[in-house]
Amino acid sequence: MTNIDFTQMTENTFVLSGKEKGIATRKKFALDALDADDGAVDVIIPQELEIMTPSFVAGMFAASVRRLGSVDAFFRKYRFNASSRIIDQVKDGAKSSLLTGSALSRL
Amino acid sequence: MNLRALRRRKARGENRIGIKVGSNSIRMMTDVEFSNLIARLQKRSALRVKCRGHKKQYKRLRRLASLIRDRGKPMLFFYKESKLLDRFYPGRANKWRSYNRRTQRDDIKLKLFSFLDNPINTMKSLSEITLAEAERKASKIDFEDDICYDLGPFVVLAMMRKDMANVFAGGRMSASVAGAIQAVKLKGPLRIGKMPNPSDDMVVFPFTLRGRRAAGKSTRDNLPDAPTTEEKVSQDFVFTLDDWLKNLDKPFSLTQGGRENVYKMILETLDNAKRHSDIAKKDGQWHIAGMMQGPLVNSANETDFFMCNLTILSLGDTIYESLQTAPDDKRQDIEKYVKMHKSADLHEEVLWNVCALQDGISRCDSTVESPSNGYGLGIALASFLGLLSLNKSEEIQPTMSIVSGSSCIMIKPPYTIKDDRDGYRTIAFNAENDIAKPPDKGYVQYLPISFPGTLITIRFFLDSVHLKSLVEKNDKH
Repeated sequence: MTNIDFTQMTENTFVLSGKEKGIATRKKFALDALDADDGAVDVIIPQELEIMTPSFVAGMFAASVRRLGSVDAFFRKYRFNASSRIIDQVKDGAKSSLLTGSALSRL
Repeated sequence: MNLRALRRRKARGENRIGIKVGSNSIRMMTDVEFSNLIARLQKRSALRVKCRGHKKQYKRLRRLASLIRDRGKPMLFFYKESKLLDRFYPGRANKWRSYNRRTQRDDIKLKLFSFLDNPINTMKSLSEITLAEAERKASKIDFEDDICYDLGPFVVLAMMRKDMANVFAGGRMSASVAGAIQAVKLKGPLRIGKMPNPSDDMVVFPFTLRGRRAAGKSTRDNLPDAPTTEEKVSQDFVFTLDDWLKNLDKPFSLTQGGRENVYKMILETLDNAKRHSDIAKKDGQWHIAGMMQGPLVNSANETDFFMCNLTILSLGDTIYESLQTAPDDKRQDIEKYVKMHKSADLHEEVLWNVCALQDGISRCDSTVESPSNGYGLGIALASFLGLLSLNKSEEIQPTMSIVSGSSCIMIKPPYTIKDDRDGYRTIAFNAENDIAKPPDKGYVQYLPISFPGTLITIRFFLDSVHLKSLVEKNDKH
């Protein structure tokens, strides 16, 4: 079982933010390879972490959500060991990842 | 006066003559006033014919006054290129005059100096200040507001000052505004010398000016293992906001949901400022400052409350400029919206900026590697509107102004951000929140002078009576 452990990343901060940081974290944990692999991945997030911003979630996980096709498939693959608040934040970010148009698309 | 007292005065060195007029006042006098001063000195000199020492002192004083007036402070006085100043005063490079070729002196009066209440005149004031820097011999700035309504223009002025020639001296400022400027540590960047003592009636709790370093100066930002500047600053602000709440009549603290809202608002705004104010490298600089001041009293004298202000400034590419690099499909959506609503009252750039607030609109192309662009600003707005719950009084509603390029967009009631049926957040600035209908031009204004970057300034209020009722309502549930 592969783990993604955020403990070291959150030693000096209670927040994780920024699209570019999310993309860099995705590269650090090689999520592209993990997406292609069949096995589940445990994502360990310390309880002290207060927020993972939508931009960070987009940078880190949006590509995975798109590849896996749905939010449910994403959470089956990536099993989060985190507070309910962080899981809700990831869920919101994951839902946004599947939107392809914009608020102006209906014009 | 008896002889013994005269001798004691001489021993203390008090036999010198002064004119009791400061250097700044001499520089700011009109030519007529200065001529009258010299004439007075000459007259006094003529009267004291018995004392040759005094005659020499008066002669020295006349010469000193002329030197102070004509030479100015012994500092550098040359043109410095500045994107900020050149944007506020187009053609500044050609119109800038050397000191010897300047003749006029003037006063600049700043009334309702606030992007939240008076954006067009505030921009005009900043332009007037830049014109004075380029062409006037001496100028003073009178800040005529009783309180500081908005830190935004002061932060902008602080960024302008470092590239400005030294023509400004003197001016008026209320004790309350002085207290706010000093507390937030804007006095140094504004290059203000003597200020009135802060008011005893108004207390200021600051979130002092701080910023992200200039582009290219860091090798550690955006790394997974190190906190970014945005993360550190947002944590500082949330702790500061908690301190502000603790200082109300009855101490409060942010709920977990409140902390989340504030974090999202600050972090998404700062991340946008970093990535989009520098199109080429996504390495933009930003500055942030805030304060809580009070207590203020509402018009019915029923309750006192505190006014909070937060300003985030990023100089560089504007929202409109950055959206010009948007992918074709997004540009087509925007152009459709602009074509629908463009009119004499609704300028094209303003409409582009309205589009930038809608979910899914971004200059970044959504690729497999980096999908999901264009949601940050909507999230920041939704989080800001969460601050509405902090005060329900109609008189003191929270307001946000987004100033970028030639547009100023004001986010305040009655218009709010809502999800449409496809799950996208939209804010259309009309009663139906329908993007097919035009926005209210009172909320999306065209600025005649272009702002070189983006400034987001927020004002909200903390009212302990209303917060207490919110807490009681939550406890019941």
